[in-house]
Amino acid sequence: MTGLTALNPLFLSLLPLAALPVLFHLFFRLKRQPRPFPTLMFFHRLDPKLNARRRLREWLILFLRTLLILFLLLALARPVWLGHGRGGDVAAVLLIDNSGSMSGPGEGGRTKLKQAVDDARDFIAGLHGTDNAGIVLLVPDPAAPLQPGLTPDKAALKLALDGIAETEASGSVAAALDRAMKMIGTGTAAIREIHVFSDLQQEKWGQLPLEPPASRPGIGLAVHRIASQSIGQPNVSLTRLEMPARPIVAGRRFSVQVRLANPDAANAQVRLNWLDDAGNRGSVEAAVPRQEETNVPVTLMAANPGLRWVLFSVEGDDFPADNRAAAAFVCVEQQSALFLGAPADFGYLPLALSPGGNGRLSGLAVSYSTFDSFAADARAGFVALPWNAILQAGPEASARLGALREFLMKGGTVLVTPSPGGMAGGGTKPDWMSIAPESLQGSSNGLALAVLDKANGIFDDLRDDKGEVALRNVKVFRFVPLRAAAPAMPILGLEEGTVVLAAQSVGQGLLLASGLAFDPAWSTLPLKPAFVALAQGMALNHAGAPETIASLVAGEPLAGMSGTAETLAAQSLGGSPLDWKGPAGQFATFPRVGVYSLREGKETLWVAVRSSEKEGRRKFVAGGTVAALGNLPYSVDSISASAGARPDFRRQDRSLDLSLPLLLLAFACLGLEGWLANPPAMKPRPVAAT
Amino acid sequence: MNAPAYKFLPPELAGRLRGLGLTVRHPVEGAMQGLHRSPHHGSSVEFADYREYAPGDPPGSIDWAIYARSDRYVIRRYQEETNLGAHFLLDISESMRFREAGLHSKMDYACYLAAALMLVLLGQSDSAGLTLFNDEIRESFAPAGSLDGLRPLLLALEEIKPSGRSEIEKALHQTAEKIQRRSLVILISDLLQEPAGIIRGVQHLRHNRHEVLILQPFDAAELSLNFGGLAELRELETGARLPVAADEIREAYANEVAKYLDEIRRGCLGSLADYHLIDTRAPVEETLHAKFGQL
Repeated sequence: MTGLTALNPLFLSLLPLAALPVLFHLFFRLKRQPRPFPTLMFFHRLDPKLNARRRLREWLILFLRTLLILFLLLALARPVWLGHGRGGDVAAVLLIDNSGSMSGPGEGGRTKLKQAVDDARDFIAGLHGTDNAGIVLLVPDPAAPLQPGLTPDKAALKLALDGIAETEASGSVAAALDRAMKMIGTGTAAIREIHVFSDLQQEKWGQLPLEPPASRPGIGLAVHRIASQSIGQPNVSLTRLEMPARPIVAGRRFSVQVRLANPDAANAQVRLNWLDDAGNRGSVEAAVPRQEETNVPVTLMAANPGLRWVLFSVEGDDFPADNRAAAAFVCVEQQSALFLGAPADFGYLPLALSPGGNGRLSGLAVSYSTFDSFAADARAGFVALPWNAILQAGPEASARLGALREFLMKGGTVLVTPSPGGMAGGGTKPDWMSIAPESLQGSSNGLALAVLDKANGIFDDLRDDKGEVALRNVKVFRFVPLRAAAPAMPILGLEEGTVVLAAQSVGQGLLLASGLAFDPAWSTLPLKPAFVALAQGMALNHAGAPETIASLVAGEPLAGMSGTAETLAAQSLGGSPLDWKGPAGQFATFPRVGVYSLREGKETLWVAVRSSEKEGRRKFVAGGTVAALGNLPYSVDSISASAGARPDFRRQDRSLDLSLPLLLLAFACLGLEGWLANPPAMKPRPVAAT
Repeated sequence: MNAPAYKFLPPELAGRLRGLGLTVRHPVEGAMQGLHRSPHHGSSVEFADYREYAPGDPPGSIDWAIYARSDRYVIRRYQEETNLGAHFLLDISESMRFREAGLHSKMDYACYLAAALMLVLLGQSDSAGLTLFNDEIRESFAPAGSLDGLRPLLLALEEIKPSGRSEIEKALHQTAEKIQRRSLVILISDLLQEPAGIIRGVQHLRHNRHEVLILQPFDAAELSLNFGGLAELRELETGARLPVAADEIREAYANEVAKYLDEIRRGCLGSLADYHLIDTRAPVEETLHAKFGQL
């Protein structure tokens, strides 16, 4: 790095002030009125060239005054001639790329990050006693023991380097450069440099920045490329986790879709492992065709309610930094389904909801009672009762119907269904019900069942990859047609359009009215595997949407905290360990996969972090143009394990501070100007001998 | 002596001119009898010398007393007294406009001097003419021997507007050729030209047997620079400009002026011309009394 640079470039912008003497001279010359005088004869007799001499001296003085200001401003700008002179104090910021891509293999059996850290250590060893250095990471890592600014303490710097570990995150080059510029800006050394140690992955360094980094004159920028080794194996990235759309119930199995991507040209065969907070482990083989993505379903179960998490990792490819993801969710308590009637009134429905009866397999426990004893504060979230109980309740049962309505208003789900034995005729429905049953009908050949509202939440567990409800080839032999008036909505119907399942929102709850008894004599639905999912979908519908847990890609900026408290505590619940507490503004991001709690005052936020799939992309900036550096002046060199980086660095700490010579020149101009501006009095001409 | 109220001859000045006289050291030719010796011998009362009688001489001029003692016919000769013909040669160049330390500008001061001396000359039965010049002779007035005759001259003085460059030597030469009778030539000028040329002109006048009186009005600010710092001077006659650091050049300038005046003085002395340096800071009548009061 050679050339001139200024440490205080502000003064360079004041250079036009050097023209002030000339401007003042011209201004006052215009303003000055000449003094009338009878004759200039005596002056010419004194010295015929008096005028020419005077003008020459005047312009010389002006020139010297201009030079004086020029030299002073240049001296104040502290120009430094890089690459020349005996050297001076060095202030250096080492910007180490600790993003996920740096965990790939480098030279000498080390990871690229380890190689970068070793090179940085060499650089620090080459610093002189009065030199200062600081470390900035591309991905802010709360676990790294970094000094907050520049320090001459080499031991502390080396200790900080030892604490730098691989991350699974992408970083922002612009933000890291900004941090490095701010840190180097605090230095007062003659030579100020930022040294970047990176593999220059295209994803980060080959992209034009949204906001070009601001150039700071006087600061050198050197990029030291860490060579990347070619990996023969395909790389598989874990790109997404798809959690169930409904709440996860304790003791109930649920399915998580894990999406794996293989951007490489060869097919990949990997193993997907998982580990939950209870220590349960599992794994599954997965084949990911080349340049495709695959969903791998994983069935999990949380035994207890509360915040639960699962860590997934891919095993079997050669790049680990994009292989992990954490999922966190809130597991709700086991649910109750209350049947108001005899078990025979509900066909196969109780069995579909709770095959074991105790909720072990489905998370739903079934109990039976009578409509007479039903109270609105029933603990169950789901209540089923036969149509007969409602239609034949009579005026004396208005209290029970009122309790049922209140139950709905509070958010419960009620299913009204015909008994397999049939429906008694007559009776009236309550006024608040918009769905009314008609008389029982039949079809000896069976009518096909059709889904009328595919988007309804009770089908959430029945949808395939394309969003279609997997409820096919169901034949209906007996049915009670339903009349669904607004606001009720039909959900299931027969092929000719008869509605056999409708829903009506009542307060916060949902009333489901069925025209089918869940018995094989009525339809083939109870015999279908989808019936279990449909039944449980109806029973769990009242639970609404699951409690969401923030999900982040490692390295993404953190959002969601109010930012009102001064201190913030971050702690890992699972995955990569982290225990950090400090000023809220200093915590930027999570660099590694895990489940974390963030406490800011009384506010707590849980975050599940997965690795950045971008880090597995194996394209690196070639040549000397690094787009992410924008218009900043920089140099790019490659560090090889054999040559080392030290000679290059030492060459750069030689520079010549031109301030003193310029200051001396300014003083010389001042002296010369003083001498010219105050000449000795002219001596009289000697009298000629006569 | 009652003078009308001319600008340059106010009554108070005219009244203070008593006791002043102007005469010449060499004979001059005049048409009228006056105070000054004539080169012609005649029947004046002032004895001059004797000469031998020659046929044709009037017998009445024979000094019979000498004849009685020496038996020789001797004619007694007497110095003829005549009136003085004076010509004022007035420099009206631009430089005469200058005034800084003086009571008047050099031009005005010269006009006061001329008017006063004209009146003095008339008072002793002499006559006075006037020539105005700068780079050439601009206007001439024939000598006047009375107050009435002097009127156009005095009015002409009031009309003067200094302008142009002065060519003193040229004016002197022209005047020398123009005046036939031996006269008194009074040059009033600041003489801001090389002394050698001026002296040549004076010598021409002297060669033609004219008496020469030179009056040089000078502002004190010309003799020594009375300002400090850097100033740009503009020459009145040419408009030429010169930036001058006064403090730096003050001593050398004063020395140069003194040297110049000395050259003028020596030149006049060598040419038998009367020379007076007039300080314009002094009142006119005071100057006149100082220079001409003893006569």
